[in-house]
Amino acid sequence: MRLISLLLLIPFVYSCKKDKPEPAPIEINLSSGMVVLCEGLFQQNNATLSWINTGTGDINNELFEEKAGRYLGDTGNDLKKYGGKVYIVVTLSSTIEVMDATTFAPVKQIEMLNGTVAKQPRSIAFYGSKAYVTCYDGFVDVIDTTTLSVVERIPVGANPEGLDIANNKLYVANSGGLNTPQMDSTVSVIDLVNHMELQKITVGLNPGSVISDSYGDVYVIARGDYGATPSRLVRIDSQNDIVADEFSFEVSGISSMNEQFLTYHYNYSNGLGVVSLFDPSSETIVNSNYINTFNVNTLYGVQYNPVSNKIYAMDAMNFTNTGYIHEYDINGNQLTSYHVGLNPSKILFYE
Amino acid sequence: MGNTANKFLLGMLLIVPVISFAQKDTVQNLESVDVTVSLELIERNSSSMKFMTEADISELAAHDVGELLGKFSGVNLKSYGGLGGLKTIDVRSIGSKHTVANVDGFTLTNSQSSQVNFGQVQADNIVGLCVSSGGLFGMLGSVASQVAGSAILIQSFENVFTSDSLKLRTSAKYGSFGQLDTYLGVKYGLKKFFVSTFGKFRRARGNYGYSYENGLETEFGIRENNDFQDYHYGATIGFRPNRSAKFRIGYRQSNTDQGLPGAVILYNQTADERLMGKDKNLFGDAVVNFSKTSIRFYSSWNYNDLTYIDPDFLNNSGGIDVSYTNRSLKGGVVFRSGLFNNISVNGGVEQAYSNLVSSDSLFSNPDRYHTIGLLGASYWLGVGRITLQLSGQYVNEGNKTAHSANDIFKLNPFIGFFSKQTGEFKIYHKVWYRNSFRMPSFNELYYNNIGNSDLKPETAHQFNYGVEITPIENSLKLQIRSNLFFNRISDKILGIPTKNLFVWSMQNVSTVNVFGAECMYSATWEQNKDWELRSTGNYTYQRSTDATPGSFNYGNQIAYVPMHTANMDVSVRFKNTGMRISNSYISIRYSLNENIVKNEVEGFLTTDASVYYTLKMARRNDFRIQFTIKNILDVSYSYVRSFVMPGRNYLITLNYAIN
Repeated sequence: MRLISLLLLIPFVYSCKKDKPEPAPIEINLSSGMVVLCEGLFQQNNATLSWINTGTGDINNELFEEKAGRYLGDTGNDLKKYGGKVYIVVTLSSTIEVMDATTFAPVKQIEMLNGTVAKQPRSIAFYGSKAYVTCYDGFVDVIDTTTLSVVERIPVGANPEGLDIANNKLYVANSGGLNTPQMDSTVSVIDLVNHMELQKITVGLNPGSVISDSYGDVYVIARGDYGATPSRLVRIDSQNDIVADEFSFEVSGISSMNEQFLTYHYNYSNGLGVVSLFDPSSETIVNSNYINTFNVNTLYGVQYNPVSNKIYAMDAMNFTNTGYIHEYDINGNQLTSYHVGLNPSKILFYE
Repeated sequence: MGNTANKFLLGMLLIVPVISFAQKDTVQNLESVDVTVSLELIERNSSSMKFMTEADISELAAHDVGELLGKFSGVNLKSYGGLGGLKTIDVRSIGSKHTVANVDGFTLTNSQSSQVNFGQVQADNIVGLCVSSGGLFGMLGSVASQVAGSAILIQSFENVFTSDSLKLRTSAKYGSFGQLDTYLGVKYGLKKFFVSTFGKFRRARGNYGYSYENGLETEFGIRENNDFQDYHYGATIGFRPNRSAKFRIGYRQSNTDQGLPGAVILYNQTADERLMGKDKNLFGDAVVNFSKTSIRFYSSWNYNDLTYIDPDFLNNSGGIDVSYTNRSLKGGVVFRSGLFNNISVNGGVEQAYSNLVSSDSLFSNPDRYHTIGLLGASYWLGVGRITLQLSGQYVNEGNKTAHSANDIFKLNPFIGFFSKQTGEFKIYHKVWYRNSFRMPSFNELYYNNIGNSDLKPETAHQFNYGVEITPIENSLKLQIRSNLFFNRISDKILGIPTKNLFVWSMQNVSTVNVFGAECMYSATWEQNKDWELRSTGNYTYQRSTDATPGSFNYGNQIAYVPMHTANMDVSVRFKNTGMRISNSYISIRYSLNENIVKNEVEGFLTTDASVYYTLKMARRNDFRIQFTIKNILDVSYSYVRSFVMPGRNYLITLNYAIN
């Protein structure tokens, strides 16, 4: 009887199998292209890396699976290259995946667990032989880049997000995002020699991204409360560790373009995304509408490729549909678009 | 509460003078006749209903009602992991919140989430289970269940009148993953009274092994923090002074405590969250029958307390410990009357009050008055019956701490034609249209940043054509039923990011079209008293697509709606020994609305088998032992992405009954 019932059901099973499309092949050594980190969605284990060969235009959205033979995990948040290795920070899986920068062969998966509690790593920065990783449990973990293991935990504020280095000091944004509505407003300053917190600087509600310029200044985005308190860009003078400026424009993200910064803001109410060019030498916006984002549905990031001299805008669509990378020339004219994974947020460029 | 609540209470007392007494069941006719027979009566009276009997339920050895509902055609079960996990159902893909569940004629309520967790509804005491899509015309169930898009009707052993002196049901189950499940129900009936009581205890460690595909690798793991422990108990008193009046009053309570294992997150198996629930329910009704008219008054009070704990949440206070209390009080009256020989009318009014109090300072403190009125008529022609029905609903929302939602008034029609059975094959046609809506839940309206008090209700239009035939009827009886349906859901409520990626908000954003077909058969072969062979099967096709103009996913299949579902069961009985094989198939689904390979959740076929032996003892005493193997082929599967289900597992059931 079971056999009969099984036989009756078999046609359904097979009629529904689809042929999976073959992704474009990936060369053994990565070059002339870019790796895109697509965050994926919470509890879906669908963070991915895309490889875009900018020469041929080929896209492979399964770079990590193909190179590692397994999935990246849940909610990728940061992607950086340092000393011949690529580091991918995966928040909910609580891992840091270390890959060979040339071949993208897996080197090590660093488990970011504190006993049975996931540390939830967010962002990574490098200095000397150390990698510094913000962890949502209120620490910056210090990873030895040779042994690829955590050697020290530096306590900071609540739910640290972005971090960067200036003047031999580490600046860490304490978001306190999990204490909403009582979010944090500080940046922790860490001495990179003795790994001690020197002080906390109050910058504004809900600090997120941190980036330093070549003049020894640190820029922090205080993201506000997405309501009455708007987002602001704040400049810290790293000589004196004081807030030197607060700029009165809204900002969602920031990245460097040569000696300048690209900032972007996405307005969730009206769906408009704006990319501006900010000059840290004059500390002003020199172009408030730098690229034409007409084709971008949800502006989710912007990055500049110094080798090709092109700009890339990340499009998260509606956050549940796979996104796009839109390519622009240096004058802000759109050249092409690449269809990638879910919620693209970071790009690593290859010569 | 305050003044308005007092007025409400006063009004209730005036309208329903005998509120706290009770009788009658969900479905009229049910207790006077044997359940298996009366289910066919239900079928006559409803527009598109399927049912399951006590025999089916015990052979399937289901863990809860959710598992049973997955066997019905047109029902899409979503189970968030095995054993104690959340189970919701969606009938004909109009959305799980359009379904109203009725136990013994009383609506199960949760205005916080607007959906019932069928993983917490017990299966041991059920003597009849029905799924209705088109409504329950002319029956004395709650008004809310008669106007809903779909209804689940559950009838329990404890709340059916009996005239026998003593009836008893007891069962003990022992199974894999530390499952222990005991139930005792006793009912004592005299000529005019009956009293019943039941108690149930259920626990499991829930630590089942699973495998999970991870690229080229397969991850093996043990489900952790998946334990649970439940108590359920209650009692009912019924009074039947004469043939024309019946009263019931009863109380039920359940206390639950469970770990929440969550999704399987790759490389991170930490889970420490817990959920504790307390559910109290006081209910009563009175049915009065006149020569051509029956009236039922009913009232129920429901108290639901939920506490959620996450000790590892990375905030400054060292975790989350939050509780929600959802209360509701409702009362109503329903009637049906055979006015003339060929016209009958039915209708009713129901008033419900519900509120929510939370320890979460960000949550609002909402309350709701919901009034429903219903009037319908049926006209019998030579060829069949035409039924028209109109319901009106008024919802008044209040919120003590923030902006409250707008009041809502809606009229919803129903129209149907039901033919007589004709010809040698007893062909029976039905055509109907139902218009219904569901209110946004308190969570959708008011929950922290996510809630949106501007939400409109979600509307469902359902069109159905069905035919039933009985091509063979001798020692082999075969019945076949088919339905074609088209549903359209507009103003569908979805969460979308409106402030940033982390701040999602509920919006009325989409329209869904559903083209569906279902086919069911039921075959019984009774050679003689010793041999019986039964088989049932169903297949449902649902093309449920995003029909929102300008949507990125226009024309794509909606997330988690399988295009194909099928069930096939075969049972054989020889004298006192029997077995049942039960197969369920669900085709691939998409975890998000974009229909790409990456979003596919694999389809699966699971097979369960039971063998039992019944020892008929003195008089009406039966002892039964049953051995069940679930997921015999050890298939690795999941209903919801990353929520793995158990592999092969075993269950022994001992039953003792006095019938």
